[in-house]
Amino acid sequence: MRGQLAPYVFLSPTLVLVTLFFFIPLVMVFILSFTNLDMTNFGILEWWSPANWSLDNYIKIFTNRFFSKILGNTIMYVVLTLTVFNVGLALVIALITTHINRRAGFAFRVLWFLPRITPVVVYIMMWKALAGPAPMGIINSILGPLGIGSGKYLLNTNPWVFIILANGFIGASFGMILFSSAIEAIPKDYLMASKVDGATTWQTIRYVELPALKWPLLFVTTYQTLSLLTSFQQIMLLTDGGPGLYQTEVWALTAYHRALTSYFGNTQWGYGAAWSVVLVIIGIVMAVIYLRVFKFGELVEEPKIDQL
Amino acid sequence: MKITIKALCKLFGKVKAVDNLALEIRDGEFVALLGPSGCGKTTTLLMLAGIYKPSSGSIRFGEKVINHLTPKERNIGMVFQSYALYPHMTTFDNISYPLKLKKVHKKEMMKRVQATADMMGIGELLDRKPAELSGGQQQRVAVARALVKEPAILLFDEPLSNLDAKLRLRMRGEIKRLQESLGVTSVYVTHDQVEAMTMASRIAVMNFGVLQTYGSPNQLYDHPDTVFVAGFIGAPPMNFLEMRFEERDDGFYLGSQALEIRIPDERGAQAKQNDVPQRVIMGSRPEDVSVVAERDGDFKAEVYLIEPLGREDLVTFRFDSEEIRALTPAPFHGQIGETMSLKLDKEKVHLFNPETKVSVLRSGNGGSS
Ligand SMILES: Nc1ncnc2c1ncn2[C@@H]1O[C@H](COP(=O)(O)OP(=O)(O)OP(=O)(O)O)[C@@H](O)[C@H]1O
Ligand SMILES: [Mg+2]
Repeated sequence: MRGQLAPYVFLSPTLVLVTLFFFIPLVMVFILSFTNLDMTNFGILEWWSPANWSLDNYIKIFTNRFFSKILGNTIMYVVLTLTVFNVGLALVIALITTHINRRAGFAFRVLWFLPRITPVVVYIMMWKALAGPAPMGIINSILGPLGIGSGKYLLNTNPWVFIILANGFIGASFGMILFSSAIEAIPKDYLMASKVDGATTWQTIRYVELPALKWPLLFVTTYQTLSLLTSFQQIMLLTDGGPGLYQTEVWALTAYHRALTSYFGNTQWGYGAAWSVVLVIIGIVMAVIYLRVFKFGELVEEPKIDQL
Repeated sequence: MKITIKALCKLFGKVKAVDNLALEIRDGEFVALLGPSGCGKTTTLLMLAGIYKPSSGSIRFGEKVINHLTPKERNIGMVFQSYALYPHMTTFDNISYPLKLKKVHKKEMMKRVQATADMMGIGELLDRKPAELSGGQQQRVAVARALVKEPAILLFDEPLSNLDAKLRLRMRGEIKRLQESLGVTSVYVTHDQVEAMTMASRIAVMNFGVLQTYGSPNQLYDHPDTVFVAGFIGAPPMNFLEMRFEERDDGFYLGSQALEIRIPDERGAQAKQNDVPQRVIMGSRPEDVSVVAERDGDFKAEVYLIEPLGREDLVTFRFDSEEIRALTPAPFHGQIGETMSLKLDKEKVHLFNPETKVSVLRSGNGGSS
């Protein structure tokens, strides 16, 4: 008996934590999304009672005047950050740093890790300083003499550029680490064989190294899509959805604004929860699509070995 | 394509992987690079392939120095120990890869891939991925990929060491026949001396990055230049005994506490001409040691170990504190602990200088290489 109990004893701390801080909140958010719980009726509304549940919040989302603006912002933010930085730049850095001197490559990758380990508030402050109006902002000080730009506060004139740059510089390091370790794990024989077969470095990358990165590419794309969809701290700190009305408001930021600030009206926990639930569903759908596109099934196909 | 290697060195940091290598390989010749693990065989091959740049020295293909050429410009085919088949490509894509890089026309490519695959007996497997092939099949695909672009030089890096014994024997024959029929200059790296002996027209033996000897299999077997070569070539390995070299009025003698033998006059004279020292290392192959009747024996020894090999038995004898092994016709009539008389074939006795480890039976000016 004791032997059978032991695994559960060891598992219990984690189980308790996961249940308490993940599963229960998840279910609660789901239930909340069907209620109109907010600051004003907190403690009065019996949100757990099905009698108070309705689809009103969801109808409100899809009939929202800014729905298409927010959706468009989210798609632009995710697609551009993902393709240009989190996958694109990550791959480029990984390829470059694995094809130069090992130590230099490693040092370069460590540098690229700095944005990720810098506290987000400090990091965003740096961007704000960079984007400052002439003559304080560094970027303006460089652009000015070149005759480009107006010298205005760049976060007001080009907020999206900075949102994508600030997120991309952090995001790229994740893919960079995964891609470069995957590249270094490719047996050297393949690379030598390819060269002997007559390939240039570029052709070796194209025909031998990139195909070996299929798995990390799938993983980074999926993982980063989901984390970009749900990330809002950098945008909140940089522009808080502005500077124009809903100009840089993305889905996750909307959920945060609705639920936890009184940006417009009261802190609407129920309504905010509904935004989050839709976002989770979008994330799941995206993940399934990725698995299909990358032909996940093929990767785990059974071999057909037979004897010579 | 003739290959001429001169004073070739390769350093990895402080490690001298290849040290002052000189080698000439004739057009169409099949040469084996033989040596123990870590002696610089692969490094030499990769310098021929253009993957590693030599630290110094020169490599010529034909008359042209090709040190600075990229692998792409060298027109070589190479078979790797791991086969190095691209795992995401089918057999067809693997074999056609060198042609694709050369931008060979599609139709021509199909034809050549099919022809090469048929020649290697894998014409039916073109749509399989490497993971769906057996080791032997993968081996053939790797050879086909090396052959398809009709290279001027073929390089093999221990291509058979991952196969089981039976398949290895078969592929050995196939590769040899293939090389002979195509007449492509080939360099074959192996640490298996049997493979080198059976396949190559000449063998280059290396140790610690240094070329030990270069010659035909028979030459290396019958007239090994150094103690290392004598011990490395031939299985079971040669016996070595430290002995005294003496010239007397009636001839040349080798002696130790337990035995004394007279060696043929021409061998003794040759050794004398090569400034043989007083103490020498005498080498005698196990097949040149025989068990005889007491009155014919050179010395007596005690049976220590009997290892049946099927056709013959390998018997280890002990005398004084020395050991000597003999290949005797099976079955061996003797018991462990029994004392028997042994005789050495004096015509096949090898003598080495214990200081330089070089043979004192070499004719000519005495220079090795
Ligand atoms: N890329 C490298 N960097 C540093 N040292 C190396 C490198 N390649 C080989 N060496 C060293 O050079 C020496 C020769 O290596 P090499 O691979 O040529 O041996 P080998 O004869 O092919 O051995 P094996 O039979 O085990 O394959 C070894 O001491 C090895 O450790
Ligand atoms: Mg090797």
